[in-house]
Amino acid sequence: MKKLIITLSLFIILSVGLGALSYLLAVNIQNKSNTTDELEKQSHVTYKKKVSMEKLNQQIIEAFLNEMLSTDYKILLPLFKEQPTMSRKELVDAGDTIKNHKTVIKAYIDNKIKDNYEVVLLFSDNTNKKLVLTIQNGKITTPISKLEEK
Amino acid sequence: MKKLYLIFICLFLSACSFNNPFLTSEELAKNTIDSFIKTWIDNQSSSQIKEKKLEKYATKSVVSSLFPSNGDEQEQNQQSVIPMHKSLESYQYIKWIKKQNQFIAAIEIKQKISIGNNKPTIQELYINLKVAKINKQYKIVQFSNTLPVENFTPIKDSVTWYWITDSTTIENSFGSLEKDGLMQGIEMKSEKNKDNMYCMTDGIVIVSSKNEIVISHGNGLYSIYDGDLKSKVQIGDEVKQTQLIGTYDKSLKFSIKYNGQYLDPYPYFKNDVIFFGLTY
Repeated sequence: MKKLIITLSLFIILSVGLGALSYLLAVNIQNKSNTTDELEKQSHVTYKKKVSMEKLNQQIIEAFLNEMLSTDYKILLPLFKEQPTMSRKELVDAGDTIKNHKTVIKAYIDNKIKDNYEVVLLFSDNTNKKLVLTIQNGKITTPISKLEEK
Repeated sequence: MKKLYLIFICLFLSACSFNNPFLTSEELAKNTIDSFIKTWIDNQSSSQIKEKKLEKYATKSVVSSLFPSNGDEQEQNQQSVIPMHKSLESYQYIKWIKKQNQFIAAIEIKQKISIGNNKPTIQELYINLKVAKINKQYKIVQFSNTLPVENFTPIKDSVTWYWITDSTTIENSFGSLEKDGLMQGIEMKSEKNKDNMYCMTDGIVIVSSKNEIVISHGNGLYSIYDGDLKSKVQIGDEVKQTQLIGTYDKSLKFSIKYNGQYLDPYPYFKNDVIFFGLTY
């Protein structure tokens, strides 16, 4: 009888103990997982390097050409040095005017002389429009109004 | 004596199973909702459902299945549902975005729809369903149909981008209605009123102001951070994936533009999104 009581006690202790252990293990795993996520977010790199002005200007002209394929021109205005105050609608009108209110199927750089980029907008009706943009210090210095001219 | 041992073993096993730590109530709820959504989508593709007006079917079945006992809540949710068109075809994927103790589900269904009887036109749309835990209850926070961006897959499978903020709570998804039309990105609310913004992948900063940061990632890909910002980068800075680029107050609109078209950013952040079912 004594043996039975001891065995019984041992089993109860063992089952409760293992249950508690598994629970603690799970909580620990969950906490570790959360901590890992937080650490991942905190471990952002700190990096400071400027690209060359030529490379930056190239990025700006490419952004301009990409915006010509767009219809909302969200990042068009910030590319210009002189940024006239425009509402969303006015900006769309300006962008459309640059494109002669046509659909651009291809926009590319035709020639580059120093800071001047000659670009071509090829329209869906096989016509095209040539533009000359001057880019200095990562900004288009040609006024947006000048590009609207036919 | 043997019987007693058997009883003890059973007791032991039941004690262990009772303490199964890997099945939380949230996971149980998530599984329930997940299986429900799958059933709902599977039913959609059946011929029986095709004949019905999805508008009625979707609103009633989604709401009543998730909230069978609360009539008032059903009415409230039904009103917030944007009417859908008659539709056909099956789902593409379901994804869950987990955030601490709550999660959001978004089904995106690529469909072909016919509008009008005389000249039916075919176009595609997505449906977003978001379920979040609010005050210990799972609620539909958004149910909408959205217009997709065409040709948005060519770079999807080859990239892994870093999630761009501390917050993973998406307030408004791509294609949600806003006052100027459909949202061409996703909107996050700041949790600490000064959440960090990170660079999703390597690039060059081409615009940096208090309202907008634009990063060029090459090959016609641009990421746009829009809101009340405090930028830590300048024009011409080369930035790396995971780099802290600034903070934002209140809310942040994040867009990805690829060759002049906007992409839904969701599918590209695989680390923060769990996919179920089919992919795009």
